[in-house]
Amino acid sequence: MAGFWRLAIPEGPVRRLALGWLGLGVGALGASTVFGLWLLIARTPYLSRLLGAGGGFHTALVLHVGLSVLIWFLAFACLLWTLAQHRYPRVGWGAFGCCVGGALLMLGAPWVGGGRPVMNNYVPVLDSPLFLAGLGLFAGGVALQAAATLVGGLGRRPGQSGAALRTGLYLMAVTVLVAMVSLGASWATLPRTLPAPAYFEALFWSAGHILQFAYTLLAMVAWLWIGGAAYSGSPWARRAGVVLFVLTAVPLMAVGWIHWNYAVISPEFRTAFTRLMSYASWPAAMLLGGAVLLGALRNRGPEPRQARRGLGLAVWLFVTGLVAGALIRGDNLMVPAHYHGVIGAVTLSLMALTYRLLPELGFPGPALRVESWQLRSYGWGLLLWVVGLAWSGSQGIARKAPLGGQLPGGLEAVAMGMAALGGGVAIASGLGFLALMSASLVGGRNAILGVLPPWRRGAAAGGARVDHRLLAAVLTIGLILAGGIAVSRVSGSGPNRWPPPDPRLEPVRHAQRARETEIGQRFQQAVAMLHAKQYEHAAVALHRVLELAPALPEAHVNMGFALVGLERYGAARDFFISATELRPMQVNAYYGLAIALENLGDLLGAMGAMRTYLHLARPDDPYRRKAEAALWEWQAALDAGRPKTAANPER
Amino acid sequence: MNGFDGTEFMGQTVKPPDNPSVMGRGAPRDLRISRLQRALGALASLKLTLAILAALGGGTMVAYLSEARTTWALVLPLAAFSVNLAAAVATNPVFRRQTALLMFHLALIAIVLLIAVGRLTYLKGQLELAQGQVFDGQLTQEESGPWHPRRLDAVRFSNQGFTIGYAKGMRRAATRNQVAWTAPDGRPRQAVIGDQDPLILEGYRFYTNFNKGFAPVFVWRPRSGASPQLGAVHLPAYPLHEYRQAQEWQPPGSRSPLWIMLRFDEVILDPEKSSEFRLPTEHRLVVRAGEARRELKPGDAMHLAEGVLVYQGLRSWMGYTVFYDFTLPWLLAACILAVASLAWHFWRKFSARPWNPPVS
Amino acid sequence: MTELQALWAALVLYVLAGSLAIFGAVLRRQPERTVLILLVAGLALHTAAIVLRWERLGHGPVITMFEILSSNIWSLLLVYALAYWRIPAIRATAAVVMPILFVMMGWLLMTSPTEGHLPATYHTVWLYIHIGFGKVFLGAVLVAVGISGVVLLRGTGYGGKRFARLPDDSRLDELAYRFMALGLIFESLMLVAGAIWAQDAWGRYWAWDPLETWAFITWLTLAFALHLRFTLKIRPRTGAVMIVAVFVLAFLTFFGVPFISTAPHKGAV
Repeated sequence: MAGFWRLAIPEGPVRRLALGWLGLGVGALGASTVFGLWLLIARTPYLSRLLGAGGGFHTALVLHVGLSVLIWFLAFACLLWTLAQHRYPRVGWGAFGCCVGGALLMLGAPWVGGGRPVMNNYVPVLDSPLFLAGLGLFAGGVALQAAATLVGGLGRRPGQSGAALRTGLYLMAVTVLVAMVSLGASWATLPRTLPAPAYFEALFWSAGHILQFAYTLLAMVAWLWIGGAAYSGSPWARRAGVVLFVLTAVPLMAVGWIHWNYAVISPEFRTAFTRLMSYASWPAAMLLGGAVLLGALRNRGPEPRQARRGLGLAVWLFVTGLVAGALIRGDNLMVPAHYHGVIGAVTLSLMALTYRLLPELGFPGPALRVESWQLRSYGWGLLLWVVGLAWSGSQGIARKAPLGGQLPGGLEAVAMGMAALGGGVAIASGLGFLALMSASLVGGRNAILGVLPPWRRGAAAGGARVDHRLLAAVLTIGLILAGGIAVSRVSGSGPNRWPPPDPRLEPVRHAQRARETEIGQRFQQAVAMLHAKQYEHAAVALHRVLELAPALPEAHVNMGFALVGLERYGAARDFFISATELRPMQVNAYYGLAIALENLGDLLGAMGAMRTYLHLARPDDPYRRKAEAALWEWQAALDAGRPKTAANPER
Repeated sequence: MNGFDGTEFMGQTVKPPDNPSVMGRGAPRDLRISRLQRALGALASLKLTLAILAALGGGTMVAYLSEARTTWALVLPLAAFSVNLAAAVATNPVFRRQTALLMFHLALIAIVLLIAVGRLTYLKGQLELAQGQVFDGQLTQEESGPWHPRRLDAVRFSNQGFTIGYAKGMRRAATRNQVAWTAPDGRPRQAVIGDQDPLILEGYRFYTNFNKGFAPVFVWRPRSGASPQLGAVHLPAYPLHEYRQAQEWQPPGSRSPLWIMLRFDEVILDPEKSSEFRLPTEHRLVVRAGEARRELKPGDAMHLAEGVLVYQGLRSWMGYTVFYDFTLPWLLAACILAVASLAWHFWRKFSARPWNPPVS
Repeated sequence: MTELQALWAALVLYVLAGSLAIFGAVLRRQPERTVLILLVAGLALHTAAIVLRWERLGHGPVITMFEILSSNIWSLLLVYALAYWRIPAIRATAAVVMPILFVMMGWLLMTSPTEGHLPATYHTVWLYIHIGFGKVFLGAVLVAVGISGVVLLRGTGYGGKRFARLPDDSRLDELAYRFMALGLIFESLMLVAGAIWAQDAWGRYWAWDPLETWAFITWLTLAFALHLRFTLKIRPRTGAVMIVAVFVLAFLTFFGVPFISTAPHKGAV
């Protein structure tokens, strides 16, 4: 009975192949976690300034998604398929080779003249031949393994242990193959003239949605394996399990109908798949999750409760993701909240299943407490991340972009900070998972082979003659030398500012610069207007200049000239006077003042001003002659008692 | 003796009987060797370590209270510490097995040695550059260790001007100083340094400090026919010496000094709001030579007995602190190694045995 | 809720926790879970207060006495709460530790919560690294002081009966020693990070200014105390006295020196 919800792992080549798939999956998850850390930093307030101009954010996003959602999940699926059906080991190895090759190509593509990252949903890609070839190779390998599993499963014997699980796995294989076929159909009918983002979005739309069904099945398999005997109490429970698997897969029969009836780029096609996934992918999974959880809570079954670590959190995470999905209203952060919830639930389930599989694969698992800590921190970290994202999404913050200059305040920052905290915890936990797996696989191998690492051999030999002093001295000197060289390389490079200064703390510079720019622009505008004799416009521009720079003598002078043009001599006189008060050497102010005073009838004053102008002006000043002429005329007028306007002959 | 479980310092200075260096030699050599061993053992004494630590504490107080940074009160305990530790490494059996502990202590010795080397080769100094001026290796203030390799003459960079923001209440905010220099490959380079971003050339670290001010620039044409020279006079730091912007200066080759004062009426740094250090838009330069007194504006010339002083205009000057110590990266590496190895040692020691083992 | 309200609420919770712990020790009861819950709740509110102030001012709690006291109370209680949670055997030490925190909280309430100006030399990540290490160091020493306090109090008739439940002196001494070892590591890291910061902030990595000097003396005393343990066979009570001495030195170094000296390191440059 206990063996019903698990698959036996035979010794020999099957175990090695299974280990290979596990290694590929865990490695991809680890690499994806590292990229996830990059993304997290780029989207956290204050930390995002570390990364400068958001370099490489989108490439990191592409790799993060591809490595986790595609490679980690599908490699794990291949692992389970290998355990379910191993009639064709050579095909299995071939598929494994293809997948590893594809994964390496995808990972290497950015470093080798990377293509532009395309931010389409479901399977974002780098638009480079290397990446796309890698993707294709990986997909081919998975399809090969899925097909081999199905063909091998055709001849299965009834009553075999784990039959219901196998059913689920076969259905998953069928789902993945349907996704590939749908992808092929889309590719065949999609016009190639579309711009890259629209092209890839349409290309992967159907396959992406269908894969979600496959991942749901994967999660269900994992829950049954972990939940184990707690679930099965009776024969009808087993049948119910099979029925739930079938219920998850059956809606995919609509795929053919959708492809037949709608063009790939039509909105109906898009909506059909969205509706298919939103309504049909999860109900059976929820029923199963609930049943397994209930059984686990009631502690049925011979296994101890610790054996069901991670199960409860996984189911809750899944539910949270689904709820977030239901709350999606537009393309904001609620969308990543949704998919991180459900995908995180699947990842958590697979992590827990991995711990279960390790002993059966012949490796020592980590201590129970450590394992439980890792799973719980991952689950809670993701929950916090999802809730934080959902909260931010409800406030309409944009997605898929580094935070860069966007510095939210108040509640938004708290929401994003919460998301960052949860994300950080989840990432640390993911790295912890990787570390635990490495320790188990590497250490376990040595335990199997009977080889102790060199630093333990001495103690094992119980040496009383042990003398590490020379080693210590060599290590000390070597590390100091090497460390010093490393530090001098890093820090001796000259001026840098890290972290970059917070613009909020230095408002002076920015405000100052903005003002200066405006002053300059307006001033030029005014001068141009004056030349064009547009005195009204010039006055308006100069008003603004004077607002920003009330002590700028040139602005006062030009305002005076504008007012002279508008024949408002009294105001003009005031401006000329204030210009001279601001700068007694402001030469042109005296000229203007003279003109204004003349038109106001104050010839004596005008003469005085004009004399001052002549006294201050440069010998080659073009207006000297006019000024002298005016002065002579006024003198003559005063002598003759007649008012004259010789200074401004244009009037 | 098999009492070494590796988790406790035995604190003994007596050699265990199976020490090969004491066995199987002739009697006179035995005595000599055992006397050496005894001496080393005495030097390696842990009680001596305690005394040295206390002496080091005292030396610290002396260094703190005195003006000099390197005093005998510090050097002697550090030297004694190195000897004590070296002797312990040579004789104390615990260092044979506890590699991490040994590495920590060796790293401490390395730190002491590196600091010693650093003190022998360091340089600290001050200099001031007017805007547009090129540093030519001259420092206004300098202190250096006896073995400092003087490479300052090979360093050239120019000050291209700065901005310094001030928050309300005349609190100094960020300093941004643009500097230019020629890289070793011949290409001209520019960068913005300030506050905590030094300019690092030939291992010398140039930091902008809080001294800066105004520098009237003159052309001095001596009557003796020598070529005219362009120079800047650094007035006292502003706003530190806001009301004493005057300086006495002797033009090159002349016998009588000039007294120069800068006068302006505007408020450059307003305590009521945030502002920026800038040159005054309107200023007058008062120059007194003996009995003559003139107020100069940019472009004005003043004829003196020994030459003509032409006032070019007002610029700014920036103060720099220069620091040289090539041991810094290795010192940092040694510190990190010391901490890491100590942490490793404690980790292994504490995880081997619980602090509160269950009473059986 | 404003930051001061959150802070006030946190302080109230801390006082409740501390009082409960003291009563528990005196009356020989064990309200440990309640104390822990109160501490954690207080920490949560205190975190909110600090975050709100940080967000409003644009810089962390590093300038004024108010901010420094608040952040140190927070970090000391965080480290202590961690130890309280993970080492159930020593929970009774809360009766010794919380009164120390009460003194700091009282002091906090007497300081003014006005803002300070973030000096130009504070615009660096080394500020946070240096302070972070220092906080862990002080926290570790505080836990050790709590344990040492119990060891010393046991010497009195009154205390001997009240703290009988705890492990015996030699074990407590061992645990306190381990916390001091942890403190030594983090104080070393703090000094190194401080030197890195000082090099670029003031153009030199060490200048025997008051804060540097006293921090180094604290480090020497700590090293001396640890060395003393395995050089001479000292009794737990002597070790406890040394630990308290180190804490007093560290406290005076950190809270006394910057605010009575006028040298640049006082934190206003």
